[in-house]
Amino acid sequence: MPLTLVTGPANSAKAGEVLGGLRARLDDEPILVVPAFQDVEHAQRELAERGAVFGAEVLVFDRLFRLIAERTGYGERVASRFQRELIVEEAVRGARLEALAESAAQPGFARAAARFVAELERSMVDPARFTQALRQWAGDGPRRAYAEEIAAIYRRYRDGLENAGLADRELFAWRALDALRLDPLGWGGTPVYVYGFDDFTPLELDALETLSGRCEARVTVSLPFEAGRIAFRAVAGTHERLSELATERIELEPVSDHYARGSRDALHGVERGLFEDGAPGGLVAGDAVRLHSAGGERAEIELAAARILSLLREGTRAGDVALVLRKPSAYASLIEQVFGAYGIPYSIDRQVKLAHTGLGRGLLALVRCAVPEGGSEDLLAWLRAPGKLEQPALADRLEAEARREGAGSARAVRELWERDRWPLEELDRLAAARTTADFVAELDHQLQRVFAAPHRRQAPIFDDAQLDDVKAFNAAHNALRGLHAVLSADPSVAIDRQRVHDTLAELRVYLGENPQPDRVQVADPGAIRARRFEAVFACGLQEGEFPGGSSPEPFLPDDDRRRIAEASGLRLPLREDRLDRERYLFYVCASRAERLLVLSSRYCDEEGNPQSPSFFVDDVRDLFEELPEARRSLSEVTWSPDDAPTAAEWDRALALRGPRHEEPQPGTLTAGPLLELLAERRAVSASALEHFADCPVKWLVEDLLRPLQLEPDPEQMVRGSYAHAVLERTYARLRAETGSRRVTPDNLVAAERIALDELRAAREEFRISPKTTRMRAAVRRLEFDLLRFLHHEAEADTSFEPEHLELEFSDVQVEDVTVRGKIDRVDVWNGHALVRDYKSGKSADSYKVASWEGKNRFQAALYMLVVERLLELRAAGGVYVPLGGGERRPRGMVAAELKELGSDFYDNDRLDSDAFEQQLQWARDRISETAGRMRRGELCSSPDTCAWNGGCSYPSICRTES
Amino acid sequence: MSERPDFTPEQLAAIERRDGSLLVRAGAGTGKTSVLVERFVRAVLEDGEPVESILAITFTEKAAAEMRTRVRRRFVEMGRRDEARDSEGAWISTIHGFCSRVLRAHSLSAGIDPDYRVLDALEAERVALEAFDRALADFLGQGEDPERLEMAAAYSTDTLREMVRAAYSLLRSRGERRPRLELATQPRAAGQQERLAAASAAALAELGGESGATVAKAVDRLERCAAALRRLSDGQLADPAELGPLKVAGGARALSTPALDEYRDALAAYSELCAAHRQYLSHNLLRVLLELFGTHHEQLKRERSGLDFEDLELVTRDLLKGDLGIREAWAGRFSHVLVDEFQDTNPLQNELLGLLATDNLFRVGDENQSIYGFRNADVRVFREHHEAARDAGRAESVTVNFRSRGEVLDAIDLTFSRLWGDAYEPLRERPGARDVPPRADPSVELLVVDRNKARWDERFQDEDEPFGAGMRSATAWRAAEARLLAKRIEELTVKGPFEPRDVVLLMRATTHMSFYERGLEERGIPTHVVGGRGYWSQQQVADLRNWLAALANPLDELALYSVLASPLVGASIDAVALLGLHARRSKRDAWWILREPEGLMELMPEADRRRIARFVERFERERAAASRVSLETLIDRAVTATGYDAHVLALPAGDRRMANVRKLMRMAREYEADEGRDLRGFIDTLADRDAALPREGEAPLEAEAVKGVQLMTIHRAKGLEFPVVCVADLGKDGREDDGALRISDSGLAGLRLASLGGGAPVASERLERIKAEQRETAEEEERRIFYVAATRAQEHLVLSGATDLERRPEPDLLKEPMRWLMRGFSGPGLRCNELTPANADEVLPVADRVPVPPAPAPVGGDVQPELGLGTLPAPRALPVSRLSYSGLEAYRRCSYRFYLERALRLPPVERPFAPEPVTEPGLGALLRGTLVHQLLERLDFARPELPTEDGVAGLIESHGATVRAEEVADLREMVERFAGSALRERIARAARVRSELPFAFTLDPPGAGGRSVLVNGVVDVHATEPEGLLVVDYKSDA
Repeated sequence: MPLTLVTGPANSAKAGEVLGGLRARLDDEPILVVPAFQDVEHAQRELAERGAVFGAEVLVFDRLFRLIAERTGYGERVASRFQRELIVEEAVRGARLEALAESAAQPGFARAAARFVAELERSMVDPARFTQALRQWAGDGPRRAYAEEIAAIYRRYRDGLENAGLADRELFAWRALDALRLDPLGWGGTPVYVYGFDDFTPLELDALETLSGRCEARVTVSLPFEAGRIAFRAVAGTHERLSELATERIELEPVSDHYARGSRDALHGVERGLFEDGAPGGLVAGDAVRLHSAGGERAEIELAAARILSLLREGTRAGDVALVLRKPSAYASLIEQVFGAYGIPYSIDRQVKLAHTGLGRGLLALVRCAVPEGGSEDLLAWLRAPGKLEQPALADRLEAEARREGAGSARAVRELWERDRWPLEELDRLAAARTTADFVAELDHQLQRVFAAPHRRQAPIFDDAQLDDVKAFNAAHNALRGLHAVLSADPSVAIDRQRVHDTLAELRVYLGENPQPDRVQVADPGAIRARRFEAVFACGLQEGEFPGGSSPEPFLPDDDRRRIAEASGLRLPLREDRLDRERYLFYVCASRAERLLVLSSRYCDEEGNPQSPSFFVDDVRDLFEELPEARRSLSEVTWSPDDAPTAAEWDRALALRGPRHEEPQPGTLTAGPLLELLAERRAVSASALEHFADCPVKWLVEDLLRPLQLEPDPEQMVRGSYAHAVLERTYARLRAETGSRRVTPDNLVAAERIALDELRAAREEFRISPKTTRMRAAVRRLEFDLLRFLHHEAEADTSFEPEHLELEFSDVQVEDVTVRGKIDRVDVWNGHALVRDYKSGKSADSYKVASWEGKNRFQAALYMLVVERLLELRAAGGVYVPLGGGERRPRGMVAAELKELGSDFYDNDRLDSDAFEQQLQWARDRISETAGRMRRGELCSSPDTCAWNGGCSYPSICRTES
Repeated sequence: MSERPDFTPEQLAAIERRDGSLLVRAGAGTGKTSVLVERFVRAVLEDGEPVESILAITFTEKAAAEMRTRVRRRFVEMGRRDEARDSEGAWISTIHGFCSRVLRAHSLSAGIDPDYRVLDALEAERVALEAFDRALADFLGQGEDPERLEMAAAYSTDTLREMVRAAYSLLRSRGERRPRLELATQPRAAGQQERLAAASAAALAELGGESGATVAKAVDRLERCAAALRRLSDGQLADPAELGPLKVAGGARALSTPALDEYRDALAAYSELCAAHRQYLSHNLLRVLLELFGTHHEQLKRERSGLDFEDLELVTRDLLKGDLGIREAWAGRFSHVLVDEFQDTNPLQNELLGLLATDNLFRVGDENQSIYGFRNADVRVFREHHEAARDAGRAESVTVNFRSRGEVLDAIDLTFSRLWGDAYEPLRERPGARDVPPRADPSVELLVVDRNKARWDERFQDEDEPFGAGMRSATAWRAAEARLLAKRIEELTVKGPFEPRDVVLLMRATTHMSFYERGLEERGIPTHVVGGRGYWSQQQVADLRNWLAALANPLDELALYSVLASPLVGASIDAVALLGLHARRSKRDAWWILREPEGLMELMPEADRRRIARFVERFERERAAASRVSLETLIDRAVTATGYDAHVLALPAGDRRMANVRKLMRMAREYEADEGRDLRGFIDTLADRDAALPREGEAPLEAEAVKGVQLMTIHRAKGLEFPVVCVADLGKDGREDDGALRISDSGLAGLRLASLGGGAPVASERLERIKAEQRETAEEEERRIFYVAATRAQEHLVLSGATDLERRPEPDLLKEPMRWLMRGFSGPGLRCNELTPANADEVLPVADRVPVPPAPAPVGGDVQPELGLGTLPAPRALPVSRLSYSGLEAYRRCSYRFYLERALRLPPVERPFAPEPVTEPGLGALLRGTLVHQLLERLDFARPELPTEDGVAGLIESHGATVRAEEVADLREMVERFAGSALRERIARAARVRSELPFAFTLDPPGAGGRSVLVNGVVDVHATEPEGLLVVDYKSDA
């Protein structure tokens, strides 16, 4: 019986020829083979469009091979994807690799090996032939070891399958065909029609040859092909092979009837002339062909979306519009956002990793929580899995605690959770699972629980977003069932929990929707090759994208394959015809439109880096006199009001073109209750006064709002508190143990011992950093700084003695202000008091009295005034004492005439009594004036003095741009 | 072949000498890309080389894209479409792109993951930080070596990390795949300590009788020195930082004695020994840490199957070096290797080129434009190769400049010939470069401001803000320069022959760019900072980050308050303060209060009440949807639904601000593509980026959209040209790398010695030596940077900066470049405009010192409302598009179960939430039914034969199920029962019998948006009888 080969360019009614032939033979119960599962329903609908059909079966090649197996009585268990992976991994492990050892130790190697052996099987190369061919190629040259190891992997893989009593998909097909060759009558002469393909694997070609040859079944194959055309170069090999098999050839002529009248010449001209050197050119584009040129991906999709929206508004059915991209999934998120914002209904074929879905992330986090390495974020991700907690606020609180305390592990966060919430027993159950199979079963149980929990007794109808959870659940549940089946069927399969995790992490979830008549179809060129649309938007026409870059096969790149063919005659598929293939796919896109073809490219990326539009665009441009071009630049963040596609975009357009306004600046607080409260406040803290003086908005945030934050306090702040605490305790104990208030050369050793004790004792109380190494280094540094500080104290030649440590005060009246606060230390001598304020930094230079006025430093002065009131002592000075660095001398102001203060001060900081009093008066005025403004709520922003290193600390609240 | 008329003889020589390797020195603006393109094209058309046999290496992706386009265009111009088509797949790329292509083809031989990916800047940064943390943990161990902890404490972990990473990166750029520092040897003590002890004792004895404050201070230091030496245990050396304060200055008579001189010498000798010893200890510890870092860095990259950019080069180099077969294959593939920007090549890249080339290397570059030393580019590579090529007669020069006016070239040549002497090859002007008179004469001018702060302070001592509030935080001389330059640019543009967009303002660094920007804006001249401002500090970015942070967790109260105060909500500062107080008083978090605001709302102004109520409702909805909506959509919804977009667009430079919002949306999209919809992860990643890549530039606006003067760094301007170039802030001091580690060309490391002893860290003698060696290189590069800046100018060049106009000091690397530029750019045809405090009123009168910004012109606002922007009706969902009979039956039984099982495809759950493990039953009902159908399909109705046990078993196995004897028997029994039935006999009598007959038809339910339902299935038996049709459906579960 013949193999009929139907060829012709696009739009030459090949479908009519094939489906017509099939309809004519319904009594023989013909089979129609289509490329992909999605094509099955489409073909069934096409067959049924003239009424019910009986007898025609539509299937894909995999199903055809199963049917062949059924009819010839061949049967064998087919390995699941996971079984196959395990066998490949075992083959790689067992091959004792040397030349490939380094690469084989890495995660992608087994995946690549699995792809490679599948290709060998699709090419119907058995291990012995492969080994022989590689030896002939490598001889005893430098690639011999490489060749031997590749061959060994394939041999071991096939042995692994045999030992497990399994075949893989390709092997099953191969053997089914062998069985068919032995029992050709088993097929029963069912006619086979093959439609929609432009390429066949050797296995598929073998099936066509065997069915038409040995089984004498009528086989009709349609192939888009036109002799001598560059657009079909990629298909030429397939055509040649099929021509050898064909006993009848039908070459169809192009027809142009289906194009819209106004677009016919242009679109037919594109189909006929694309890539043809001798093409006449000079076509008139009319409204049929347009170019889009955009600055960045967003501008490109917005440009397409706006045009699509106007088409739909003009009455085009959404299902008659296609947006074609070489890799739609790369644009899925952008399309979701732009089409969503523009209200365009669409369908897209996209898959995401299970880990990228809410449910999947939670499930994978749960697996990680069950191993000791689980991190804090894992437990939080599990608790935040959709459906896990009825009150998300519980997870919020836990997250806040965990982050503030720097809890780094899942275990630590669990302890925090279980401190005052219910126990997370699922973690124990997973940890307690005896075998991996039990572990997987428990995981599946948890998955079902968490998925179903929010819907129990609700009988909900899921919206589009919730459907993603359903799809993720199905994918994970089926994968776990598959895993469990393998593990329970064969206890010798030894995989650990990490491997379970990795398998789930690799799992893909199909989130797309099948094409529908009421949705714009976003698809790759392959998905639309069997359909026509009123309008086709070919987007992403960029160099490196469409046409795409080459992807050599890592085990045997093309150069090696060519040499193998020369040396042994074994011909493995080559990838070198990539550009031809890309040209063919572009031809497919360009020939699908009936009324409008839009070719869209970008001249730069989103960062403004120039991008090369695909040369395919030039190929089309060359066919026309000129092509109208719509351009949207990177700078066009809105549309012009005339072009705005939606009401929201129109508002934006007006806003950009309307009158300018400025950000409102923080003004005086006016709410009565607030002002009353501020006026009523009995006492203000010294630090609040300084904050207000630095920047009133900073004061508002840090002293009034005091927001809870999710990060630990800065290291410097914790270090400071740590140092204060240790010094206070050291001085207190020194006094108790030695009776001395001061550190002197005689008690220095004791003081050092006490300080070291206290440092150790307080270590857990003050965690400088969540990272142990940073903490160890910082504590060591602090230890050294404090010991040096004590040394310095011991050497001081002052008569003043530390009398008050961490002296707290409240309700002390300074001028018309009541203040409260805490003074680090007050040293006293004969009715005089020296205020000391510790600074944990390396130097106190910026605190010299000369800079107080410029920098609003009046804290020490305020403390001096407080001490005079509170302790009825005469202020001898107020200084800032550095606890770190090499320069130990304090800065600030001291009374020059008091020699008893000792020699530890800078001459510039020693003020005579007039200057001393003047400085205190300045402080009084400043305190009074600052407190007054604070009481009146006079806010303003002072970005130059807000953050410690200049600049604004709270730009979103302050609204001032520095 | 058609030859382009505008090639000069120099260019033609570079194009036509294709008989071997050639190195071309091509100055700025001399059309080297045209030369490369033409050489490529002619190699194909004249020498018959296939397009794919030519490899072209460019410095950037941008250059590769441009070259590919120009090569193709040139082929098309010449009517060679086949070659043009071939050129689409030509080998034109950056060296990283090329390496990546080689590694994809040989990943296994290269020992890397076949599915490897190139880590982006952020991930590479994260890997490096993690590697250092792990290395440091190993380094410190359990504290067994106190020296190590001391080192970490003395330098601080952050400084150590920078030292290790700097060393690692530098050594890798020199070709070391696993960088190591050499082992240092311990310096030998030669009695320096004893000498110092003796000297201090002698000096003390001598000063015993003396008096006076200076002597007392000296005595104190001598005593402390003696004490410090006594405290040292045997073999212990003092901390060098502690020795500094023990120096005794000379000068005073009593201190200028031989004993004191000996003390000073002994102290210096001992300090040197201590420093050398510290250097030895620190060096060897750093060596260990560097090795640990390298090990962890490699490991972490392996775990991610990731390579960084340096790996691409290093691994390819090792592959080509280590595998002769592969190397020959690649070297043999190319008949020509073309290399652009050769001056920016580092030794490793040069080595790679050497492995590929076979006397077919064409390199073009300009050593005067080598300005990427900070990226480890090494101009010496160019120089050495140029020298060798010149000696071998394989060097050419291209010197005719097509970019600049002759007057500009005169000034550049004059200046740089003075600077570099014979080593400088002058740029020659193209014919007709002066035909048209300059639009502004003279074409080159200097604006020089007196840099003496004291004189400015004195001149304006009575004025509070002499240069206006906008310059409050600028030094007086810089403020004066910014004002003077702005005034000059206004003369050249608003009042002169140029458009603002013709002008670019180039600066060495962005530090003070905002003053110059403000100077222009306050004169009403529009500006556009190219990537200059920090992205992260932009208000829109902060607002939206806060929105996302609060969405992820509203207990992040700072984020929540910020959102409330921002235009996303627009609450007044009073409302925010009231909320804060209320929350603190009631000891609740602010989000809780917002949802349960008893007593609060009454206190708030009406407008705030409305805004906050709207916000709470919207925010709760967004929180619920957050895990199911794309991150990008979350931002877009926040911006659109709150009216934030309109607010931002209506601010000054609204389009730039909105572009920043869109950039954040893109970051969200890119993050989601890599990591999924993980809001918390995204927020943390932004924080990491903020910390790791602080120089992230604002979203760009395209040049053609820019109406104003552009401001950018000189590095950013490389390869560009502008009608008017102003190089500004030339009064800014140069700076020297202040890192604590330097590595010499010979691989020796010099350290700044930090110690817990406090005091300023001491630079080791080796560090000083290496810095001195490298200072000259750095100085050369600094000057080349200004050469690059000046050569960007097409028509007019302004050099603006400050120096002391009274002293006119000598040039110095660490001082302001205006010192040497002023000397260089002096001569006929150059105008120098000097501004000093003395002539300020005349050169920069008060109206220019404090300009009054013009009122912005009112725009827009009068657009008529657009019609027809209604939204489209959303399509109605049709849960299934295909139905079988059993589906219809299931729907009849329970429509919701049908929905769950058929529409959602959820698995049936017999006992919900039962904790029993998943198990595979023997034969499920479904498989059992399939098997029965298959057995009956094979049954010959006329002569029925019972299938054998083996046959049934085989069939079961073919479905991957386990064979159980009882199930085999059960299946056979069913077949047997049917075979014995009257129905089977009736079928046998039928005229025609068709088994498993497929059918399909469609139904069009109303309101399904044009969708139809496909009903399909299979009839088990379809028998044609004289009276009609008999349809049989098998039921295996009946």
